[in-house]
Formats: sequence, structure tokens, C-alpha cells
Amino acid sequence: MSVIRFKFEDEIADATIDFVSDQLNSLPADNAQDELLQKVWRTQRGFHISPRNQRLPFRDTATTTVYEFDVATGTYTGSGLASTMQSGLRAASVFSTHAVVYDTNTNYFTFTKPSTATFLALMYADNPTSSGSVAIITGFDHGTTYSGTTISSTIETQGNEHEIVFEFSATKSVQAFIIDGHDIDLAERVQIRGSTVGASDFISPYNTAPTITFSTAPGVFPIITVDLSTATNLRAIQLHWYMRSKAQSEIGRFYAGPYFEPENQTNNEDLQWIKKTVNNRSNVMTTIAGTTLFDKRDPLDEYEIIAQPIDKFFSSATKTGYENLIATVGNDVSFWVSFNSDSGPDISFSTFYGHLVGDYSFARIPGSPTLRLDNLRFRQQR
Amino acid sequence: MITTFSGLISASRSQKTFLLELEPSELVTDWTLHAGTATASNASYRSVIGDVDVVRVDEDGSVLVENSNTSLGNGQWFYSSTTLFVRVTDGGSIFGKDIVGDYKLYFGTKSKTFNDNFYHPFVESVPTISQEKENLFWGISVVGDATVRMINHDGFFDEIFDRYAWNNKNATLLLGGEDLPFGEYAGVFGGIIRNKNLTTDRFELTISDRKHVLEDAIEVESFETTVYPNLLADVAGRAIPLVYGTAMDVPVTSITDALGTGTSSHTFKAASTSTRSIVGFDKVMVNGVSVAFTGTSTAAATFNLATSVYTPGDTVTTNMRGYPLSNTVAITKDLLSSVQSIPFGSDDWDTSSVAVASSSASVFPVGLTTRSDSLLDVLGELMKSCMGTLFINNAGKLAINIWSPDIASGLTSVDYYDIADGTFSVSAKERDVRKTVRVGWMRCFDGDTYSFVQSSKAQTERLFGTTRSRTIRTLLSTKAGAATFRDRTAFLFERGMSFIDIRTKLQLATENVADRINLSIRRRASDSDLSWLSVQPVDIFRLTKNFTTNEITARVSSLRDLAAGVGHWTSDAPVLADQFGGGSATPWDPTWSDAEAAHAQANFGYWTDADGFADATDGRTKDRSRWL
Repeated sequence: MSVIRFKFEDEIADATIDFVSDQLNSLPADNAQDELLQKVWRTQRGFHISPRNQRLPFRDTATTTVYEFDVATGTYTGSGLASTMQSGLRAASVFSTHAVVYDTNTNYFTFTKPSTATFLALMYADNPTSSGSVAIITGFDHGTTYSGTTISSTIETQGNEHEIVFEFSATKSVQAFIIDGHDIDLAERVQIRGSTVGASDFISPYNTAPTITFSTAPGVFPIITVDLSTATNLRAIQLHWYMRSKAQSEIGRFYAGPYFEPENQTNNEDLQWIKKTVNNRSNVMTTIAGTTLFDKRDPLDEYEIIAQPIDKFFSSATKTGYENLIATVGNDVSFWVSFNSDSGPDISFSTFYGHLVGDYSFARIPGSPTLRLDNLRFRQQR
Repeated sequence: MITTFSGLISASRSQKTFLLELEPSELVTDWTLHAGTATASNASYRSVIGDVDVVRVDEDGSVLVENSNTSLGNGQWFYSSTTLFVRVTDGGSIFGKDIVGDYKLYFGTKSKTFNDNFYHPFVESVPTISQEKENLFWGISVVGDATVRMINHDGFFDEIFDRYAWNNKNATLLLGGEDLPFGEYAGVFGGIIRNKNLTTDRFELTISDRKHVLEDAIEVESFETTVYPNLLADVAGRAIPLVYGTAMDVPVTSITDALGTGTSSHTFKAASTSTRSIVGFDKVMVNGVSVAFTGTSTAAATFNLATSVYTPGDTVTTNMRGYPLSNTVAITKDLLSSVQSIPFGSDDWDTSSVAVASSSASVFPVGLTTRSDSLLDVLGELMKSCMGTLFINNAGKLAINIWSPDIASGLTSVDYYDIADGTFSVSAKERDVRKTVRVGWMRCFDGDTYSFVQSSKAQTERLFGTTRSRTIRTLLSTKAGAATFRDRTAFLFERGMSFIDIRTKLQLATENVADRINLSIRRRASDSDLSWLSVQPVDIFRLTKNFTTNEITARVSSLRDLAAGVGHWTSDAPVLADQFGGGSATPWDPTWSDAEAAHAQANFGYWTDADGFADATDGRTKDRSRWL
């Protein structure tokens, strides 16, 4: 089915950030609530330990006792984290010759059992201790127990596990999520969860009972877009992701909120838009030699969305939807539009951020209940 | 992908990005106690100052130390997430102390993130920057005022317009673009903010370069009766001069005249010695007549005259060697550091250009005495005496360039691919042609008279029908220096100068006046270059950089026959370049092609016969070897 979906009531913009794993002073997490597209939230480089991913649960005796060591919160280098975990293992255990090393060439952690112990096991599958564990950030899988004489990460890691939790002032209707301006371009996990209760529902990245979960290996999507079939009332949103082959991450902007989809768009014939690229912004100079020299300027894309006349059966919902859109965004608020046609690519490739240009009017066609709407001109926001 | 600045300005298509870094300050008030207590001298305070890059924090003018967390020791600060934490040096109450935060704000014509700083894309227009030498071959060039306009997006500047202190704060404009890393962005203007203007949609700043530091009077000590109790009362307050190098006929002041006939000898002080000693006195004259003098003190710059040769009221002058600095560049640095408190360092100076200039100026030793004259006037005289230009460069640093007949290699080349159609024009004025050049040296400061050296070129009169002369009075203190000065200026004046105007893209973005470029002009691709403008070194006389249209208009002056190399004594055997197949370049071979002959003339000197020919059978060699 071909659709246009307007996403303009961004609940993230007014939300408070209840928890953020890490941020730089100069590029803080609340940049993700800013309108300018390229103003990002950027994390520090390396292994950032928070109360959500600090637990190292392990066994190294024949008993069933699971020891726990909580790594102190902060940002570590790989070697620094290895050293801290080694000290923690020794302090928490009855043995004192555990070894943990981080290979800066391969980016792997290796745990070695104490010389006099029978074995060493990392109890990452063991609830509840596995909640909030160091499994992911140290290159292991959550939910798996690892044991042996030496245990090495299953995947190279430079840290870079992060999460952010937004809490709304009240319950909000959410049907779409967008993650824009990100550098998550490799096959690791992105998880979006929602809660009707609030931020306290996200004690750890792996806690149970979120209301909705969207989990994906995102691939290479310029904008990660998730649309739900039905709207859900939520009080808080959590985004958790890891991309361990890179040392740090950045996120440009989030959207969480409803979308407006005009009714009766059932096939390609109803969906129409024109895309214009405003290219003639560059400075040019012609030289004596006849060579033309260009100072390039960024082109701007402009979409003209041809709104279908509201059908002869008078769709008041569509009319209200457009009125609500115009009233909310005016000509100074940027928002997203997703175009999704049957033969088109994933919606993540056809979601764009921009603002309305020009005035807008509704015209009642004489002698009929049909309303004709102006075309929407929608200019890219960079 | 373009990743270097040279690639950016030479590419036929490129996207330019300007970055603007502003450094305002704020007097931070509105403090809340964060931890500890003032009575226990362990109080730290916090204040919400907003999202800003804090560079420095001062307490009553003294710098505080940055800490890495909120557990502050005395005299420390920490900034995190819009809040500034400060613990003053005594750990007590912060109220009543001036806490000034120095911030850095980042803007650009396009949003960029460099070094974890986000450059807001608010810059709407960047200034047109003009730079011009006041005189053809020397002087002080300063960049004019420039206005930068930014978009007041969402009221970004509404509050900070008033809260921050902007005037006299640094502003730096950088040019880059495409995929250039930050390190490749080049400074194109550095100055201080002079004016600010706010509207609902715009925030404008007027930025000027640092020429105001040159506009003050030289501050010198003065003769005071508190220091010199035997000073005549009407001499009190008179400036004690500075004396550099070898200076003739320097007026001196008696510091014992009040004793009148009550002493058998009077003491005279010639120069200020608060920071330096002089070298010595060579001769003392009373009313123009040389007399014996005693009791020389170089530390105090004093000598004594017996009352048999001096009576209070006589005019006393001296030929002396003042401070042991006779290099014009060294004197310039000394004046600016002692007078204007601009120490010589990379913060304020382009140290590498100054080092080169100092070496080039060594052939022009000078002598100078000055009282509380205008610094601009004195610097102008110094620059004239060494054919130097003092200017503020693109990064806002002081720099000096000495006119030299040596042409450096690796000059920026500009040719018909770079020059906008219809913008090439050449003009020459008769008044720039001189048959005779006279250079004044060994200035007698009391009488303001000079010795002169002169040269005259008969060919100029024959060709141009003019006998006009140019007299240049300098501070030069040696005849050899004056002769070199004379020969160089005579070369430039004997056939006049051609001024060439061109407009290019940003090939000249990092050039300054007094720089040199290689210029080539031809009419069409299939034509040859003009014979007199083929890879011809030219001096930049005026530059106007319009960064809105990314175009640079330049006026350059042709160096005429001054070629790629000037002769140097060398033991190396001259060899033609590889493209000519090598081979010895001496003696002159009349069968050489025009290109080989041009190469040989440009790179090697040849003894000529009485008629000026290096090879009497080859007319191309006439008058092509000169001493400068």
C-alpha cells in the first residue's frame, strides 16, 4: 500500500532525559532534541560503564555460588577495564590469580581462570545477575554462559554500548520512531523499547516487560524508521544499541510520536509528489581560458506533495489531519515525512526531514462537499 | 575527495566552508553554594552558564586551574553540562570576587563538527578583507575592518548579546570545505571584535585587526628631579630617549645643570637604560665642536664634561653606539615588547616569517633615537630603512616581509586558467620612473641632516626623457647598507613599475601583501605567454578578498627583469637543468635555444665585456647580468 505519513508531533522534543549512558560536554545528549540536523549527541570514546552494564557475575568454584563484581562507573580504555575486572575478580573470589587482558591489536578480552581453580565461568545467562552485565561491552553475548580455562570475547570490541531513556511528562500516543543523523552503520543491535509505566521500567537494557520492542540489526539505513500498525500510549522510551567495532557513537535526532496518514491511499495512483532539486546555488566564474570554476553550494531538495481532493464522501478525518499539521508546524517547525510505495525500498530510505514553505489553503469545490487542498511544499532541512 | 587546502583552492569545483571562532567573556554571578562552607575555607560554588566551551576562568585577574571533576581544590574550576563549578583561591566566599569566564563559540557557513565542537551554521556572510601596502616597497600594511553577519536563529544571540563581553575579544575566520580535516583549514582573518549589533533576525560583529596596538605613542621614561635631583627644573618631564645601533649627533641632556658653577664637571645622560645598557660613546660635541669627555658609564648611558669645555646652556650632542640592536626587525620586536607588551612569541607573531625577515634585514643595519614618538611613525621609518613591510597576516599575527631580489622557489602560480575573463589589466605611470635615486644615511639627529649615496642611469633619460630623481631618507648607519638600498631601489625605479590587476578564485587566499607570486598571461591556449609575463615573479601590492563570492582581486607589481635567481658566490659548477639535457652552463653558448638561454640567464650569472655582452656574438646576452 502506498502511503504518505507526516510525523510532526515529536514527543521527544519536550521529554526529559532520564538516563544517558555517556556524552561529551560539547555534544550532549539533549542535542538529540535540537532541530538542526547535524548537531549530534556524541559519546566519549571507549568503554563506558554505567549502573546498567557494570556487573561481572562469575563462578570459579565447584559450588553453585555466583560471585559478583560491579565495575565502578566511568569511562575506561580496554586495558584499563581489563585491569579493573582482574582486580575485581580477585577481590570477589576466594582465589586471587585471575587474569584479564585486553589485546589492543585484536580488541579482544581474555579471561584466564585462577591457577588453582577448576574452572572459570562468566554467568551472563544467569538471571537476575545477568541483567546489567558487562557481557555486551566486553564482546560477549547476553544470555550465554561461558566457561573454560581461558575465555575470550566472541567478537572484537572497542566498547561503545550505549543507551538513552526519555520520559514524557504524561502518557503520549506513539506510532512511529525515527533515529536520524546516526553513525550506526554496522550489523550490531539497535533496540527501541517503550513503557507505559515510565523510565523506571528500564532498569537495564535487558530487563523484561517493555511494552513494545523493536530490535534490529540496522544495516546501512540513513534514517532508522519504525512505524507501528497501531498507536500505543507510552510514558517513556528507551534506545539501546551497541556497535563494538567502533570506539564511539553519535546520534542526531529522535522522533517518537504519532503519524498522520491521509485516508484512502490504497494504491500508487493516489500517491503523487514531485521532487525538485534546487541546484542553482553555486557561484561560477569563467576564466580567460574559458574554464568555468565553481564554488559548490549544497543543493536543497524540495518536495511538492499533491494532496488529493478530499473525496466526494468528505473525509473529515483527513481534513482535520491536514489542518492539525499546518497549525502545528506553521512555516518554522521541521518534521519528517515518510513516503512508502509498494514498489519502493524500505521506508527508512524514503523518510525526509524538512519544513513547509509558503501559505496553505483549503478550497471548497462549488456545489459539492469536496475540498481541494493546496499542494504542500516541503523543503529539506539540513 | 578533496582533503588538503591546496587541493581545495585549486580545484575547479569545490565547496567552501568558513568557520568563525569567537572568544567572548562573561562576568559570572548568580552563584549557589555547591559544597563545603566559606568559613571552613573549602567552599565550592556553581552557576548555570549554559552550553558553552569554557576555555579559561579568572579570579580577580588571576588564572584558575581546571579540574577534571567537581571535587575542587582551592583555585580550581570544572565545567560540565551547562554548569560551572568554582572554588576560589582561599576557599572562602566567592561573592565579592570577579570571576570571569573566557568562552569559545563555534560557528560556520555550514554545520560541522571538529574536535568534538559543533560549529553552528549561523554565519550568513563573511567579510571582504582588504590589505594594501602604503608604499610600493615598504611600509605598514594593516587589514581593514570587517563585518561578519550571523543569523539569529531561534534567538540564539538574544541573551548572550548582553550577558557576554564581546568588545576587544578575539575572532578568527578560517577557510576550508569539502572533506578537509580541521588541520587543513587556513586562517584568513584574525582580529578583535569592535562592535556588535543585534536584530531579531541578525547578529553582526565588526572585527578589526590589531593595528590599534601600533597606534600608541612610545612610552619612555622621563627626566625627573626625584631621580636626578640636580636636574634643571625646566628640563623635568622631558623624555629620556631610546637609542638603537650607531646614531649620529644625538642630543643629550645634562642632569647636573642645576649645580651651575658649583661643580667642576657636568654629567650627561643620552638614553634610557631601564632595560638595556648602551655600547659606548664615540664622540661628544659641544655646540658642534668635538670635545674630550670622561667618566663613561654604559650601564647608565652617561658621560661627564669638564666645565672648561661646557657651560650650562650649551648644546651637547654625541655620536654613540646605543643598544646593541641594529637590525630593523630586532628593533621592531624590542619596541613592541617593551612598549606595547607584545612579547615575541607565536601567540602574537608569525615567528617563522620574522626569522626570515631578520636575516634579510641584516644587510641594512640602522641607528635610531626616539622619544615619545608615535609608534606607527617609528615603525614606518624602520620598515622604510630595510625595504620591509610590517603587516598583520591572515591569522591575525604580526609579520614582516623584506623586499629582496632573491626570488624564493615554490611561489604560488597564477595563469590564465585562474584569472577571471576580462579582469586582467595593466597600467604604468610615468611618475614612477626615476633616472636618479639618492639614499640618505648616517642621519645626524640633532640637525636632521644626512649623508647621501646616489646612482643615476643614463639609459632612463634616453628612453623616457626624464631626469627626475627620488630621494629616500633612511635610518641606515653604514655606507654599504645604503649602497645596497640604493642599488635595489634604482633597479626598481629606472624603468618604472607596471601594475597588473587580476581577479581570481581563492588561489591567493593565504597570501598577504608583500608576498610574491608567479604570473603568466596568454590570450588563448594556443598562444604563447606574453614574453614579459611568463612565469614572471610579481609583488602583491593590494589584495581584496571577497569571501561571499569567493573571489580575490589583486594588484601586483612586475619585477621586470628580476628573474628566478640572483647571482650568489658559489663553488658549484653551473649545470643546465635536466629538461635541457644537463650539460655545463658555462661558458655561454650562442647556439642554445631561446628556452635554454632564458634558463641560463635566470639561474646563472656571466661576466660581461665592456659593452655589456656575456658573449659578443649573441645579442641575447646584453645587459642581462647585474649586481644588486
